Amino acid sequence: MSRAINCPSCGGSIEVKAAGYTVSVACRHCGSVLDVANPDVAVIAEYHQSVRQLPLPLGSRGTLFGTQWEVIGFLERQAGDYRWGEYLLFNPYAGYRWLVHSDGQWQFGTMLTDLPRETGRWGEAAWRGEVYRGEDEPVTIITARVIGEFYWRVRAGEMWVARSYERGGASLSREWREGEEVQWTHLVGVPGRLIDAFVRPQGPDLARPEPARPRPDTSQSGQLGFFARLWQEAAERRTSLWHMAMLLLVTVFAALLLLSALTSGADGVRGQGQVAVDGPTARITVGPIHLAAAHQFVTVKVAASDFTNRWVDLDYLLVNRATQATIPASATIEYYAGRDSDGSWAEGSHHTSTRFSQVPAGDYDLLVEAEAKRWNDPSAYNYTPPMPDNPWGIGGVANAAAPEAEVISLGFLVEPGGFPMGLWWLIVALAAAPWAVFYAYRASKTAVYGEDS
Amino acid sequence: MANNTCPQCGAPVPMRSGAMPYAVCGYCQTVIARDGMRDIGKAALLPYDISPIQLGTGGAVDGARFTVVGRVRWGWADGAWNEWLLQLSDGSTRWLGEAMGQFQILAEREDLLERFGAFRVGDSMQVDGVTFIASDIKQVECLGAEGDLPFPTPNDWRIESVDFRSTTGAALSVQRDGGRLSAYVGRYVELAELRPSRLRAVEDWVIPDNLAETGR
Repeated sequence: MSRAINCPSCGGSIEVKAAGYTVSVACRHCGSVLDVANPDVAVIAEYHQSVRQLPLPLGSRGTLFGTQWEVIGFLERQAGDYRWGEYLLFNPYAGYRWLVHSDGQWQFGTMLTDLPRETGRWGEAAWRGEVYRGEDEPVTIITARVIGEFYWRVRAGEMWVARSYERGGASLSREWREGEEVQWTHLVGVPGRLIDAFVRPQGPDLARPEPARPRPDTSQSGQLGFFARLWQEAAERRTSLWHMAMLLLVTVFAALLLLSALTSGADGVRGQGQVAVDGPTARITVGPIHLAAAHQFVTVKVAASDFTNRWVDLDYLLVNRATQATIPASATIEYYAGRDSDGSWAEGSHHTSTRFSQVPAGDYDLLVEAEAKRWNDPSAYNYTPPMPDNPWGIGGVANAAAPEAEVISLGFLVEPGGFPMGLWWLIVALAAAPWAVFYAYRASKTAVYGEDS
Repeated sequence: MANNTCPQCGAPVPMRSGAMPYAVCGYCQTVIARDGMRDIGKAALLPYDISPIQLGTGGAVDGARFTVVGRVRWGWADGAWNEWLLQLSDGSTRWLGEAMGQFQILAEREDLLERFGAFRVGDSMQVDGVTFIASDIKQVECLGAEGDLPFPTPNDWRIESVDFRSTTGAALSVQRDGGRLSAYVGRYVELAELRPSRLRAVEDWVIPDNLAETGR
């Protein structure tokens, strides 16, 4: 039994897995950090960011060192330019552990209750009779992003000083900051296949948030697109200038996207590949890409073949052929559709675009790792519950018919990106004109009739 | 198990530990003095939490069997923790502290009190040959209680709690209630070390094999 709360910021429903221990929850719908230590949930910091798919989504479960764990929280941390992820694991009978994911390697972390001691020799710590050596100077770690729940009041932007001590394959990490207890964590490596074996929750990590307030039941609103629904919602209320300003922003943003899509450079490089749904990671290389300017944007556009209720995680590495310097990025293509009490709904798209900034001149290859996942909408009438192959164990695995693997085709276009600023400002001005006219009109009405807004 | 009834609502108040002077009614949260079954106030209703321990959980510690007979839940600005009262088969009691998924076994030590005064974070104390450093001092509030207890737990009870850390896994906790001090000394333990039985079943989770009930 876990406790369910509603995010005061976006109204999304959030399940608190570790009720009684958990102090802060970062809403998985909008990213706002909430204080749940007290019965009345309060917003600590408000963010309206889309929370992207994680390599190990919250709610995943798996077994490590003989104990089953559930992933309940995620921190993205950085020291200088170096970024890595830390997942918080929970089991009500075993407490908390950490899973640190950096450079594609996984480490399992246990918080220590018997603290290591400094031996007095520089850069040495002794723990349970063994000496660990710290080679590097202490570094300052910033928490860049938080998702999920934590047993302390976590904040994006919080800073700790950390020092790592190594011995063989294990390490001790000491984290401290002014006015807080020193935290020691013992870390051991975990083979990636154990993490791959974690069972991901059915469906996207980003469940559709429940609307914060009951909307009038508009029977067709489900069939309308996002913008149409926004227009319609705005029309349902007495349109205020504020909402018009919001619409203006949305329109301008849509124009921005459209422009980015239209301004394709002539010297783009195309590539393609395929990825099997729920299959192995597909590796696709696009190149060579020749960049002439000293520094430039590089835009990667990807379009996928038609699919529904699937998502594709893309990890990009832009590799300089001469220096082997790499620039990482990631993207997700997702498209979901189904029926609920509001009628049909659909969200997502079959294409996405990612931009690298400040890429130096040179010849590059784009290395893509793609993974496609299936999502079954449990409320859909054609929902097929996941079934083991050969559920009755008749015959052997060999003569169980393998289901036809579903394949998604991906087309890539990599190009040095420019952007027509002049045309852009023209569109902004044109979009803002009706708002300005309306504002003047409102102002005159208010002056004459004393109409309240 | 002797049964008495709550003076407030008439519900049975089972006696889990004959040695405890106070009990909290499980139905109306009335704090009852066992001596004459007097109503002496209200405890707060315990907020829901996902602890694997419950009243009646059994186990072994320090060479004796124990039963969990009571609990006090404490909260402060940044979280909350449980202190479970263990009644041992040799007649003594221990506290099982449960915070952030970690457990401590603590025994009350009245012999230490004359050595303790006011504490600041970073102060060190020698107890039983172990050096303890005061790591955390906070004002805490009783969020609720259940079962049999050695002291009454009124609704708005606030105390100061001082936590100490060591390099050996030993634990020391000092609580100041107005002018009254109490000290608890013990160690961090893994739940499995206590060979627990009758743990609370948490929905969606399987009790791990090493904690599964042995014998019925």
